[in-house]
Amino acid sequence: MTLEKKRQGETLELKLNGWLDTESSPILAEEIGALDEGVTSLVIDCSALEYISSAGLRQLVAAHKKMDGALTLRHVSNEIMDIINMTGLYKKLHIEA
Amino acid sequence: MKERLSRRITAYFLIILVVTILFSVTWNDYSTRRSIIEMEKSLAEGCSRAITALLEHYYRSDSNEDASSESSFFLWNAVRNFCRGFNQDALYIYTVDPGSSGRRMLLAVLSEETDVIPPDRGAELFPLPDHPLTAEESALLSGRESLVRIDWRKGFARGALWISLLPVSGDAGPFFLGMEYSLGLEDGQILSDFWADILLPNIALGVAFLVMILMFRKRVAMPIRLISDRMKRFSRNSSKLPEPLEIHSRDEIGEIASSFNAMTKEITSYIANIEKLTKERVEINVQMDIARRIQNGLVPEKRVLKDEAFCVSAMTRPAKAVGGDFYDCFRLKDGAVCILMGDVSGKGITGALFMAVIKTMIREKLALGLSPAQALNSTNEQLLLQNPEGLFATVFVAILDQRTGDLRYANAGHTRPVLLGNGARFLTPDTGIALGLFDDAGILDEHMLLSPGQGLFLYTDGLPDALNAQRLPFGTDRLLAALREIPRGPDPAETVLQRICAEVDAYREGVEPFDDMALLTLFRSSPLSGGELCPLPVSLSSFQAIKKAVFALTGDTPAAKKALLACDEALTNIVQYSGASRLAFRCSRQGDKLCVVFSDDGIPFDPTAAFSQEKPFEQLDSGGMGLILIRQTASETRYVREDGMNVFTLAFSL
Repeated sequence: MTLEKKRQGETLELKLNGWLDTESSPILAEEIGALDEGVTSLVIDCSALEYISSAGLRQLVAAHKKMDGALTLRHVSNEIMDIINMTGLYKKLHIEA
Repeated sequence: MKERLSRRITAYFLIILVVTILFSVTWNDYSTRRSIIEMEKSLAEGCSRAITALLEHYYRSDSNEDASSESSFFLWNAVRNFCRGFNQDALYIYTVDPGSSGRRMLLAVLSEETDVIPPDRGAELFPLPDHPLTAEESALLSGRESLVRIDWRKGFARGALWISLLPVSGDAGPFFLGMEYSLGLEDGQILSDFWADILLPNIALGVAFLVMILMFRKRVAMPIRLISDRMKRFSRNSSKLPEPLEIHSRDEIGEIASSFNAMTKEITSYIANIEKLTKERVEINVQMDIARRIQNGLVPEKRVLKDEAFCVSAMTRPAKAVGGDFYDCFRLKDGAVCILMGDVSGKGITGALFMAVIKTMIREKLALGLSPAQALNSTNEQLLLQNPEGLFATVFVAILDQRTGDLRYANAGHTRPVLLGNGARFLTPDTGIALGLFDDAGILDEHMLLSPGQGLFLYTDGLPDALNAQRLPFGTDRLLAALREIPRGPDPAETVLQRICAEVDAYREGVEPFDDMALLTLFRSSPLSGGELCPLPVSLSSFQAIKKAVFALTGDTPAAKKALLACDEALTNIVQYSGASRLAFRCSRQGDKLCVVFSDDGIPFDPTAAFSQEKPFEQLDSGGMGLILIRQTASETRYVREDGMNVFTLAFSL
């Protein structure tokens, strides 16, 4: 998986590319752990995300908790949405089409 | 046009009558003529002798031939008297001159003429021929004949003529005596004889025959025609009893009539009987057909149920009649495998329906979650409430939890199942009483552990009771021996069935089975035995190898990705939590089903047991979502701990 960052003021946009599996999820974990105080809004662009495992989802939950809910998922494909739905995360996560 | 018997008899009779008449007329004519000629002959002989004596006397007393003399007159008168006396019409005496052969009339008399006839008038009345001596005259002269008959009508106008030589001694002569009488008398005689002797009796015979033929018509021909008409009508519609023949005569006709009456009665009842039997047979066949259809619908001849953890193969071998053997295998909601085998007491449609009821009852109860014994006891109670036919059934039920190998079973009087493993031995369950007999059937649940590779063989008594040509049963010892020898292949349940069938067929030597037979084999298969597992490093990076292997089978599809998600989670669990040092993996595809097996030597952990543990959202980042995803994406999951390894099997629909 590769990751692209875009900072616009207090908003950080992360674009995920490829497979976010157990092996690659530490990349995302590291990024989230490194978030500074100045970021008040986190946007994750999933348009290029092909796959997500529970390890990846866990990072999404961790990011959601760290941002106190100020996390938005964008351009989530149906496949990824299916997996989010399976775990029930859709109830809490803020997802934009 | 049909010939009537009486007409034919009449025709025959008429022919016989005509022939008889012709014959008798001919015979009568012949014999009459013969007797007349005999009579004529004797008269002629007598006459000839008398006249010879007369002439002898005449010539001895007086040789004068003068006709006018007294002695001549006396002679003439005497000849005339002889003529009358011997019943002749005319007599004449002539002589033949031996030199010239000329004939000369000497004397002639007519019986009706009283006057003397002079010789010249005599020659006129009886013109003698001029020609030389006839053959008859020569025969007389030579003495070969004494009397000849000449049918000389052309010469002697009056009729038949007898001529004799009068042997008068002395020089005179030779004298021929001609004797004539009218033929009319002869014919008249014959005719009157004909009327009296032949025609009258024949007419009497004809009348008698007429009476007889009328009698015959009334007593024989008419009744026979009546009988024949009745027979014709009867043969057109034999199922209806005709009205009896009212012929009561004591002769053969009466006998025929009474026989006919008895026969029609018998045939009618016989036909009615046959019709009834045929109807019954058709009904029975229809019943058997229905029964067979019910049975085939409920108990298919072949049934296979299997997945990675177990395999069940079942079959029935129907005999000629519809039997009551049945089996069933199905999966409960929780995935456990139910097998049951039974035999109901009734055959035909009754047995089939009873079987349907029992099978449905047991299946419903098992589906509701009842244990085998509970299901059987409850079915027994229900059967006892309404079982007017007094039917009963022996049933064996087992439920296998294929994840743990726990086998719960109960037996209601059925044949003991065989436990297959290393060898084969009878499982000896605490046998209860067959269903449908007693309130307290005493059916109990029993447990045992069926290890991977072990199996259960169920059968009905048609198998051990199969007879060979010597009428000896196959027997249970032979069964056990056969089961022990069967090698376990990749599909052990099917192998066992095939081998046992072949074994029984070979034993039977072509003898038709008289009882049906049902067989069922259940094997708990080891997932490890399904094929080679590929060892992988205990590392998250192994996911790439898994991904490659799965995509190789499925291609990069959304369904394959979901399967990989579950594999990812399973791998993560093993790598991160199990402490395993060895990991092996296998994936296979059957149709649209993908099957994945993970095997590791980590601490025993049953992921399927942890499925139900829900976590609040806030704790999800600490884990737990992996199992949720596995449960959501896999169509089947199974866990066994085998030989110190966790074996986790996942199946997916593609």
